[in-house]
Amino acid sequence: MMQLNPDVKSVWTIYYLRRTLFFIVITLCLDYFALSEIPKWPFFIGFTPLVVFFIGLITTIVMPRLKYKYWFFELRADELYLKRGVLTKIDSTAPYCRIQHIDISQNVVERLFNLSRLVIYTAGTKGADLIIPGLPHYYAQELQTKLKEYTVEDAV
Amino acid sequence: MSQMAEQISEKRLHPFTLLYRLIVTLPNAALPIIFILYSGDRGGDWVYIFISLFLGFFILPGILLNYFYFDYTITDQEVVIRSGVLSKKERHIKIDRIQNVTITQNFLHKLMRIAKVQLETAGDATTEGNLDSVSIADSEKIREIIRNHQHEKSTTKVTEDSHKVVENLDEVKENVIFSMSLWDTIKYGAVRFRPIVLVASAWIFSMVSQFNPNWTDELEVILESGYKDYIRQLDIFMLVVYAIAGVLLVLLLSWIIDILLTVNTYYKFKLVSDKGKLMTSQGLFSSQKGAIPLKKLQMMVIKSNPITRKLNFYRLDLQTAGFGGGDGTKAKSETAIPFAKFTQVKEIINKIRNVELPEVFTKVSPKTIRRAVVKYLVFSIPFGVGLYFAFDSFWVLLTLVPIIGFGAFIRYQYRGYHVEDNQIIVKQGFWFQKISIIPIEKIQTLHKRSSYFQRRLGLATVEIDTAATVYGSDASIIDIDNNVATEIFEELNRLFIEDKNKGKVVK
Repeated sequence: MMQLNPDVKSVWTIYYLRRTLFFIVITLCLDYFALSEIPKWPFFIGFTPLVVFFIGLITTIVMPRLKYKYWFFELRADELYLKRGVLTKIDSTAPYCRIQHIDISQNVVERLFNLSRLVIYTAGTKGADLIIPGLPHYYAQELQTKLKEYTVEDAV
Repeated sequence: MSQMAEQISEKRLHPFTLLYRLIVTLPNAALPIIFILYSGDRGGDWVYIFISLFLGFFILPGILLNYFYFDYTITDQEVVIRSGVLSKKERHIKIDRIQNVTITQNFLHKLMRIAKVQLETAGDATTEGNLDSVSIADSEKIREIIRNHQHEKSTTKVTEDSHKVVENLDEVKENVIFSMSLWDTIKYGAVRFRPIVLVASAWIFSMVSQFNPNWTDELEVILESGYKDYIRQLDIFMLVVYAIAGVLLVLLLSWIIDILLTVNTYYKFKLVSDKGKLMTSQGLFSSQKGAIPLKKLQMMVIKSNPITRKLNFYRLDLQTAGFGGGDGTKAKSETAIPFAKFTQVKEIINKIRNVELPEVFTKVSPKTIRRAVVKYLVFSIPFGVGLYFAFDSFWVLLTLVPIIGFGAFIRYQYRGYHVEDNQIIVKQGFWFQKISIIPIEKIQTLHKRSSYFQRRLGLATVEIDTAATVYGSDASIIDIDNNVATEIFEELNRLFIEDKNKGKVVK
């Protein structure tokens, strides 16, 4: 069982921060324009964003660590095996002979930490779920070439 | 069998295509025309000039040019479709890449005796060919030519005695393995009870019932006299009778509409077995022909509802995969048998694949009842709030308890699975029961999933992913004991890796 690169925690922290900010803005608008119009609204303006802020703060601190702690993958003899999930735990397996192609992708945040994502496609539609995040770029390339040897033309 | 390679070269579509396209485009032109007509008081004759200009300058030349700059060629290698006035386009489709030749006719096509030919390939939608429309004779010819060429290719590869077999097949011509009479179709329509039809007819009913000519007058009277008085003078008994009559009328209406629609879709339904494919043909006003390549078959699903089960009638859908992989996936579900006795469905499934349907399925964990109760309780909160305010009594809510309990129990009762060496069978649903048969070698990926709530009860879900996972049609074994789930997960994994390796050795 292998773990991801620890830097992925920072990447996820940024994701969670971004999401928290987004929800704060949304609730701020909601609070200001809609909720304050309700007669007898028991809370002051800015209450809901404050709640969102605290929830967001906690998840931003806790979730990346937990996610990292529970993320494992393994290249077994015949299959790729993924095991991850904090609240919902998911074990997935994709036999090498089912893999159709493999992408390496990297977004801006990941580039900051020099990490990449390996996206594994099978003919199954949910195959898009097979993503290994937080791999050092050279290692992702290594994995890609390794897995490529097994890929087949027509796996349907 | 004629060995001469037939060809079609640079042929145009049927001339009636012009007429057909004009009729089809008219509704698009209708909007500006209506707009113009409504403002017509000021326009005078200009309106008609504008309309004719619009038709003359935009629609007609477009149709004409498209028609004259479109032709198709079929050789023994490929189908070439050339189109385009300003930017030319040439689409080459390799004959052996073509998987289905689908011939469809809608009502207009039927009137003009033309048909639409679709060439489906294993690739994504952009590599397909559409010939809309050619004469019926041509459509049959195209299908025949393509099939012959594909056929020649495959027969040249194999030895002579299999050639004989193929010829025999040709003599038999149509190997009908299932067909439906008109009476069967009507019966099928009578037991479908599709919710969508019910909703539609309720809507139609509400629309039609507005067309009471005195409706607005009545409303005025009611409003003038004060609506509270009006309601007080109404007879509660009659009101209830009216309401029940209305509901019954809607049910009757939806029932009849469903029968009519079903007859229209499945009139003269026929399932023909043909060289590794199953061909279907059906339809009254718009006839449809389809092909199910058995090589691409991913999953077989037997469907039923409580009424059809009581009458021992079932439906069989076959799910096939497109090319798969990323964006090219075009999974499809085709109905192979709309309506047949269970033994007959079994027989046909056995013709496709050696499947022994189990008498008894392995049940999921009874703890699923607990989860279902919680789920239903959450979902019924809005309903419960409504009830509470309507009757102003807390005790009314207790009537929900047996309903929810019973629903949860039924859900548990109708869930089951069965793992065999070469396939897995999953059963689920009471109102819309599905029994999915998945060949082990078609499994793409496997997932074992357990949410926080499932883990608290020691449960898990096994998801089986094939190349034909259309939304909402996936086969999952929901809420089984976590240890059992792990076992199944590992067992299936072992089976399908082994299966694949076996295949490799043979190659």
